Amino acid sequence: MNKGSIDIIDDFVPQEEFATIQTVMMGNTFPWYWNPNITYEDSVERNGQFSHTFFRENEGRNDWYNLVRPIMRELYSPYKGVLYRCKANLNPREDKNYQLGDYYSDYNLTCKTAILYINTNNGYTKFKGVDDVVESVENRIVIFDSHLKHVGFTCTDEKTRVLININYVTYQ
Amino acid sequence: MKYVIIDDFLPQEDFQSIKNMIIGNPDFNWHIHNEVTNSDYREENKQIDYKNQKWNWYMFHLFYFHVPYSGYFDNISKIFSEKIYKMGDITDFKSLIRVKANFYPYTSEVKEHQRHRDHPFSHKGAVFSLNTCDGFTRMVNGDKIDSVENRLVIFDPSEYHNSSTTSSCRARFNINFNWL
Repeated sequence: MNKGSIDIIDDFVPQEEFATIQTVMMGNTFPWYWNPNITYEDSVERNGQFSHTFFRENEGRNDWYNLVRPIMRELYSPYKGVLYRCKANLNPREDKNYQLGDYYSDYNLTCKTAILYINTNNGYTKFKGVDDVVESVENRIVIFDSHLKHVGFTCTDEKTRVLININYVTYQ
Repeated sequence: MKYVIIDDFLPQEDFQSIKNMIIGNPDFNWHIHNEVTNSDYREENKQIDYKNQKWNWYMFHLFYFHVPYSGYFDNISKIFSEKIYKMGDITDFKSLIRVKANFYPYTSEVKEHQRHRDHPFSHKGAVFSLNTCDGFTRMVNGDKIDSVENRLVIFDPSEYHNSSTTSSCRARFNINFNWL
């Protein structure tokens, strides 16, 4: 599916490899880090977020990077790639589909952003100026130019909404 | 045993140090548990399918379980050892079993988790609140112990009790101790 410069691909990672990623990330050995500094003026109840940075520019990869390596292989193919950042987010369920902050763009660089949904839930991603939303479906990826402003919405039907946000460039 | 509540348990400087280490520290690792407890407790006239309740999950950080499990355990030990371990008859401390931090997420109304026992044998334990919120611990006699920051409640966790979510904060943070 293609919505202008927004590509949506289902069943992105081969099923067996995705199942491993999902099982590990949804399980109790995988570490998450609480960031209390993500704040919303309209609701203190929604302040903070769990995240896990697999890779960050100038810092490199962490010990869990091999888990997400199959995603990069699929993402870069058939080219080579350079990763800027790969970070997972975990947002707790809410009673409504709350918007997670303001619309934002990940980088002012010419690069791509990819969001891989780890679990299926009724949370979603919305792009500024685009009516349709991208629903959170496990193993679905949405790929777009990093300057496009977008925002996530929490889920109400699962305990958590888990996704991986990737910023990268590809070259031949 | 009857529970004991101690307010302002730690000196303010120590309390802030522990709170910052756990709540304000972006390097502090948390792990998800998809059920708060898996208990055999059955309540009369209250048939809740806990397993499928979307609020029935929490995050934890295991500091110690028979042996240290976390690099942060030394900080916990340093600050709490003088207090908990050496309180004489109140704590009757001999040997640590487990120490863990808990994150119970916000819900629009407070939800009580399933009643459970931490271990089937008589021992002692404590819940230390890191933030003030409307979540609580309900004791075997039904008493609710409010979450008040820097409050420690000592009780026998082999008696049925339960935790809760909070509707007044992003999360209810506490530290849970078990010892013999």
